[in-house]
Amino acid sequence: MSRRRTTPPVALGAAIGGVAVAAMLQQWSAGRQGTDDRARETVDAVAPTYERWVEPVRKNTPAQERWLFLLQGALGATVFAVAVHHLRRGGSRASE
Amino acid sequence: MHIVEGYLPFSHAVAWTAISAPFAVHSARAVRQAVDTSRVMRMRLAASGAFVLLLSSLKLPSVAGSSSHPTGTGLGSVLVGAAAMPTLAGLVLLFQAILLAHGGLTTLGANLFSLGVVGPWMAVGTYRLMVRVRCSAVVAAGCAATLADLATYATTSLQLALAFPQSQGGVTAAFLKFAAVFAFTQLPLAALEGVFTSLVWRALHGVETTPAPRSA
Repeated sequence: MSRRRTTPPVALGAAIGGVAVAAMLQQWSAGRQGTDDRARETVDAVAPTYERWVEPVRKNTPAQERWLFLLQGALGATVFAVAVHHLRRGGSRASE
Repeated sequence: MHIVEGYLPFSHAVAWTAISAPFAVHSARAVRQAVDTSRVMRMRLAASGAFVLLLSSLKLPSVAGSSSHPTGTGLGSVLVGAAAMPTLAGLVLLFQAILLAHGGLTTLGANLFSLGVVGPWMAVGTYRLMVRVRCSAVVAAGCAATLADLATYATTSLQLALAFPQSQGGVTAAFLKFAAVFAFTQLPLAALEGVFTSLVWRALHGVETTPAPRSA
């Protein structure tokens, strides 16, 4: 089967797989505090007078954040799977 | 390892941006050169960048009720070379800063230095050293990924310690405090990242896993 014909199923499978794994891990780590937040709290404790001088460009609700992380996982998994698929199937032949 | 937006003093944010800038410029040139080299290099770059994007999206539960994410820079560092990684890591950091409000634009320089510079060079150094002493390439790739992860978080701890030294004990005490925040969570995740990277490397073995040339 040609690479062109097998790429869409690989991409779709990877996207679904990426979302599934990221969603499962999100569920698994729900309620656990992230280290970035812990570091921010440590800054607050070490330097209580420090005032944040700029706010993030956007503020997401927890639901939006969850979906955006899933989008990131899906994008990453898709591009990774397609690139590896191309490398495995014909990379060495296509070397210029 | 994402220092939150606004959580570095202005002078530190500027300094880390200035320190990271030459690496970013050099990296952009390296990526452009790699893209022009061959289709295989383009696919390697895509796989390396996507691996960082994928792994940094995975919030993994760890010990003591905490969670964190792997960095994913180890694989790309040995696949396309450390010089290309600031561009790939920078794209991921920008995506997260703008869309997810994770990290930040003012802390981009500091985050890029830890994720895109220190981690990848640690990975390349580890990989070359282990291969030189005749370790298996699969094991070397895994150890490179583990140490890259830990080096990234150690750098973040140092950056925060430099910005917020403790009144008693100064930068050293602050570094130990920040490192302790990350260490317990990150140690098991870094080990897991090493195992996962080894498996991916093994899956790619014999296909296109010849490490990037030294100059890359």
